[in-house]
Amino acid sequence: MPSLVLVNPKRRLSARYEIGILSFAFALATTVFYLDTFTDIHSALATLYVITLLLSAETLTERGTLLMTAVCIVLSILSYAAAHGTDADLAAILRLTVAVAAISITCALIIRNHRARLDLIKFNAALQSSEERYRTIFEQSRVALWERDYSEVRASLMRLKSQGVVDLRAYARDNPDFIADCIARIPTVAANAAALEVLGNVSAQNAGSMRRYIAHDDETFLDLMVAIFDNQSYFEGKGTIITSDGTTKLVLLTVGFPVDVSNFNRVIVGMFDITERELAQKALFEAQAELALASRAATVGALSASLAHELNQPLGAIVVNAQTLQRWLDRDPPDLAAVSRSAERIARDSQRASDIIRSTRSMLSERAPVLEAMSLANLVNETQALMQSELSKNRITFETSEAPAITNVTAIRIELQQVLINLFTNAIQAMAATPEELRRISVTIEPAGGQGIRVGVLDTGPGLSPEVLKNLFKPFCTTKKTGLGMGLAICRSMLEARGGSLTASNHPGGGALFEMIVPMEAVHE
Amino acid sequence: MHKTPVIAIVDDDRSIREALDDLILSCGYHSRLFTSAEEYLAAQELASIDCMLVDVKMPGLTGLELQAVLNEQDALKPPMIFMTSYSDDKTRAAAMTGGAFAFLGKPVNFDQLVQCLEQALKQ
Repeated sequence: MPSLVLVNPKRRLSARYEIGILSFAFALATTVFYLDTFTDIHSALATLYVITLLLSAETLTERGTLLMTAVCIVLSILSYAAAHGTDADLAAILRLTVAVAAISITCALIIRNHRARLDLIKFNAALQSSEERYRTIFEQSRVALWERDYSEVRASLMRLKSQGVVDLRAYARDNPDFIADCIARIPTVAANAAALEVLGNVSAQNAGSMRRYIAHDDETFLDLMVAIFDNQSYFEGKGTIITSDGTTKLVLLTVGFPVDVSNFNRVIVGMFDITERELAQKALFEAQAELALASRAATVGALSASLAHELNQPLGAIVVNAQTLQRWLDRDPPDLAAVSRSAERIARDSQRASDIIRSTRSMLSERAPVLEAMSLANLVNETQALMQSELSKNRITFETSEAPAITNVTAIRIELQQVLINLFTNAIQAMAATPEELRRISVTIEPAGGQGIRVGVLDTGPGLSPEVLKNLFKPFCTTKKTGLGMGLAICRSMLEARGGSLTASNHPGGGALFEMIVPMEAVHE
Repeated sequence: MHKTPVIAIVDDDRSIREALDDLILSCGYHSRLFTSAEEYLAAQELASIDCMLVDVKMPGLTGLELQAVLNEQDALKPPMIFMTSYSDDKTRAAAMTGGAFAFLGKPVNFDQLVQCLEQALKQ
């Protein structure tokens, strides 16, 4: 019966030692009982039973301790009865009361201590299994995971902050060694198998420092430092790493920063290799754009060739007729009947030429472009992705800011994308003479009153001269050596045909600002 | 007796055909109109033709192919003046090698054409 288990089964001391202690406790109890019962010492000898209880506490269970307490109290009372009988000796009764109280209190304390210890053991076990679970997840995960010590880099960032640094990016620009210094301050505590694989199957020792693996021009690392600097709780970004065999990989980086600053010595960093995905997406964008351009070029090419041929016949005939008419007139006397025939043919052929143009136009308008709902922010991002290589080649920072609650517009994707490509290309070319660290394209997307949505494209180039500003949207106006000067003219008429607009100005803070207004619903005949 | 020169016009385009017809009439010549090379080859009394104005690009036999067919025939071939909107060097060379009298671009230069006709008829 479990109620009879008096000895703690989970003994932590050796049996011999315990038997020794128990024997001693027993001898002590016997001695106390003897002295208390048969000697005439006027003190609370029975309080010494407390020692017996304390000695056996480790060995006995809760019930054992309770039983022992009861035994000790009974012994005290027996001693009192034997020594004093039924005489009411106030001092002796007080002594007995003190002894019983001491024994009871000790018992209560022992039991409380016992329970607290059991709880502690339970918590510890739970903690241990939680740690084991975490380890298993860490080790087995197919996501590359690191444990890194960010405490030193955080301390150094906080030091900079206390020294009055506000804009960390500006600080990093002014101190070229800053990034490398930060990377060196982040030792890796642990890395899982997937993490070593991402770096190109390096051994765990070599993964110690990330210095080799982080691309030097990697903006993401600076973003991460800014996140720590700004006390953010979470960071996510796309970065570039260089594996041990020298190939470049695009990774999605996630870092969750601990709430407790002291835990920055073990921060979990996750990386997911998205190279394939990004390349596929980029190829898709490029293919789409190429296809759109090619089909447009092919259409325009085929159309203009057939148009030229079709028009050449009646126009050629008109020229011959007009000159022949002249000959009939020059005769003496003029052959008016022949003149009249020529004039009739001229009128007929002119009509034919204009019919050709009209039918071409109606054929063109029959090719209904597809109207679709789209997010302008997405379109800007797609176009940015499309031009990413051009942007990075020219070391241009690209930022997009979208006002809250911007709704989708219904428009013709390829048209808007062509306008964006035109504006971005112009901006890139306008910043050729701008110092690299200042080259930036800022796109803003915001509501334009009730008219639609305004998309602003601002560069950090020299802006537009008054002369250029005046003629910017006229056909064949160009500031480029190799340009037809049709881009902006076409962009504007394309937008205007859909109920939108395109304007240019110089930004008060410098640079050229192009603003297009995209109606919520494109005009579509 | 002085015979009025007869000029054959081979062109698939009606406007061009009629304009050239009137031009030739104003020069004091006669013309015979053909809408295709095939129609020309099928026609009778070709011997009376003194000169030909031929469009290079026509549906069916092209002007150059008509030239090749005529070159194979024994009969004497009248001088051929080619006209085309596509005056590329290769076509021009092919026509001249085949014995063309002249190769003119479209739209035709009126004076050039008149001069060309006069020279061809002198032959």
